[in-house]
Amino acid sequence: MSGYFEYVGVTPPALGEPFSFQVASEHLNGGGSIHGGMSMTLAELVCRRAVSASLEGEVGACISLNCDFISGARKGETIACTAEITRQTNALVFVSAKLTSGERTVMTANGLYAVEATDE
Amino acid sequence: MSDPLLNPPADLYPPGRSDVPAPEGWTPSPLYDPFEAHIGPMFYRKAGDQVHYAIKLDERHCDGQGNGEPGLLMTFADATLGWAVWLAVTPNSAVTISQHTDFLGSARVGDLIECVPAVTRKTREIIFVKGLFRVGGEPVLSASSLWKVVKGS
Repeated sequence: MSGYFEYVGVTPPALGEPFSFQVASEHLNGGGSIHGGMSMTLAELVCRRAVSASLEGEVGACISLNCDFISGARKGETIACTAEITRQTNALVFVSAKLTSGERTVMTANGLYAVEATDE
Repeated sequence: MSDPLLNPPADLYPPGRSDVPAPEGWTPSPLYDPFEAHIGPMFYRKAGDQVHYAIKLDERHCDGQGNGEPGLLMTFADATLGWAVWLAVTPNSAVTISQHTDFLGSARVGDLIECVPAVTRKTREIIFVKGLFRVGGEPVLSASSLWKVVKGS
């Protein structure tokens, strides 16, 4: 998919397939839980996947993401990543994501994606 | 008062990959967290009372077109704002409870992203911190976060 996701060990399945991720040693913070940057990485990716599926070929660029850190996840835990579109206009897609480990919520996130790239 | 940036505790994680050279004038940051050491190094320099932080984007941080990945940029923001929080709460520590990130412009492979984070409010329980991240003076990212103070270290 890309240098970053390959480097951090994320191999998402085809769009529309369930997406989960197993926490390994290199994803942790100093307290032994998943690093916030890694969980935000997963939240953005699952949002992007939902946006891509919804746009059917057009590209969505993340312009804003708000992430709440609800609980931690230790090495070896499997985190299920889900997202759903809240609203879609010609220019913007609003998307909401949730990361869970079993019954426990790890992160909730809300993202805003621009349908066209924001580059000038 | 000793400067924890210049005199980090001995049990800090190492700066990470030693094969990535520091840009001139920058020093590798000691990195607490395995994930930060994995994606690092990150750098800092002092200018008067301010501490500047930076990361230089390489292929590990970008998509196939050479654009900095949002996940990497949010990780650098979390690490950078976390440094400012840590300096404000030490010898206690703190954990992120919420981060809001706006993506203002593009950052590309080879770019040096800089930030001077600022603690905007500090209570006994909660720290508010924000930062504007620039490449060559141009804003590319703004982030603000809330941290919960954890007693002890």
